[in-house]
Amino acid sequence: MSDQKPAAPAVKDDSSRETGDHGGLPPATVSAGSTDNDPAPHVKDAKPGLLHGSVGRNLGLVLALVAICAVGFITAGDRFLSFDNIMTILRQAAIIGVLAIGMTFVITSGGIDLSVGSVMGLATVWASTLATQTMAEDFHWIVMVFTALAVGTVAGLINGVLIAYGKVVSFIVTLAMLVAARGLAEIISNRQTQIVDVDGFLDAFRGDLLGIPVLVWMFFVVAALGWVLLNRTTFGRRTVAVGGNPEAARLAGIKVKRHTMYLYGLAGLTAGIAAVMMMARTTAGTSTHGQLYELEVIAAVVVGGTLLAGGRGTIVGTVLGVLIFATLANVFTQNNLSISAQAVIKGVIIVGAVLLQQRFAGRSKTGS
Amino acid sequence: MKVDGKVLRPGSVSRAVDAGIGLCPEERKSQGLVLDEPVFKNITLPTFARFAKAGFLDEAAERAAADEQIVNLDVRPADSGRVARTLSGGNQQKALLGRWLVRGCRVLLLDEPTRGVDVGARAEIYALVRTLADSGAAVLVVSSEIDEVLGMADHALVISEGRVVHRGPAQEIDEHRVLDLVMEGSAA
Repeated sequence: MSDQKPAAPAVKDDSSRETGDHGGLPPATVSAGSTDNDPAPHVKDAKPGLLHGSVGRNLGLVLALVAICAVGFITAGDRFLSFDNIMTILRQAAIIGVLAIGMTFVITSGGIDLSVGSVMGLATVWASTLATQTMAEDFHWIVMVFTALAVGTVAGLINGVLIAYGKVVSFIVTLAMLVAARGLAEIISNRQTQIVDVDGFLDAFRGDLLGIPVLVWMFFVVAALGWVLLNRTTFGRRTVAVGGNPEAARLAGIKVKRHTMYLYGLAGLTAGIAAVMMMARTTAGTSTHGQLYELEVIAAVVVGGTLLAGGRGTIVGTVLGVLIFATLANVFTQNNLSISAQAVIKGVIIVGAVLLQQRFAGRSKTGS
Repeated sequence: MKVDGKVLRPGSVSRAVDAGIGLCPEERKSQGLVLDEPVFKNITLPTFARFAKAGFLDEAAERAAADEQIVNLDVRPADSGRVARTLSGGNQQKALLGRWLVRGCRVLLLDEPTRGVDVGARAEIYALVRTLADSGAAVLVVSSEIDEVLGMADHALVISEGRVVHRGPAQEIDEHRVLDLVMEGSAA
């Protein structure tokens, strides 16, 4: 006990004079038996169940994806497994996927963002209105892209400010934003679909790069950046801490409110990116873009293993969750099955995935 | 309020932490630990940003710093990767204390530091607080266990119903006197 070196700088003041004849509980007598010679031999195996648990969860998702692919191959054969079809799946997954990356951060922090779909719709309308009505000869498509990103980010930051500083729960704030952004999009567009026909924009985003659609690249890049941000940066650590225990995070000096605001801004930014992708895919901006996307996005994130209660998030899981639903949809279309049947299966997958995760979580807590 | 001669504006926890004030809260589980995170992340919760370079975490350095505290404080099991939830109360409390020793602190606030802590760990916590105070840090302990306060403190305040009813060196007062003061306070 005596060789403990407190890390505080040893600026001596005269408080030490009282240590010698210090009465009361004498710590030395009790601690002698309990502390001294117990070296720390287990430093090496410092990564037990937790890592294994997350790998196990992702493995389950991969197996589910493989199973769906197997069904696709059996029922639709080469039509399903063709390169073109796989790219179709990925292209359809891309937009939901980008939204899901932002959503993963928000849900990891213990919140929810119901507004991503309608904010994306608003961003497409705003950007396409600018493009169609500005009509200036020197209008560059990059302005449109930045408009979409800015609209998304600002809408997200408004959510964040209201949640963090206005202390309204995220469910309500983003529900209000869902309704309001959709309404604003309708007002701006006059409920008309605006065709995006800007020089360069479609060339830039509709083409392929190294044989793979640009939209798919964008999804991969956003996912990769999201993974780094969540797992390797202070931003990610704060996100997990805020979701795991906001009060502890606050008392440890983390600026919880500011961070919460950033998180919703980030979700808004991904909605802006998704808006750019949507305009490229559909060559149009309309207030009906992104309806019910929030539910698909949340479903993908939750199936991926991110805890709705906060404190645990996985980008890899989210990507797998998105791919599972996109592949499932493709298998159904390949077989000319109804959307309704597909919806039923989706529901079963969501519940099944969460049930499995709870069993996993229960085991890792006791076992480790 | 001043820390090391620098005036600290009230109202900001993060600024207080930056100034070298640490708090071990009363409710360890709901206010102190992120229970599902590994011990080392709990120990570096106030300091991970200082280990980071340009926003990128340096988990190896964090683990090393956490391991140092784990050895120092004899946290058991000595495994910085273990989930905080699985530790005993005493070891959780030691990990919480270790949090504030990673970069040192000038003022440490301990609210009921031995609640739910076994006898052995208690003694270690007392000794740690003592060494910390001897090194020049100011330690403020709030406790409802009278012998604990009198045994540990240099200077004791007796508070009854929100009012300070006695202040002075801890040796000059004993448990009976404290109880008398508290009873008088509530009677008046």
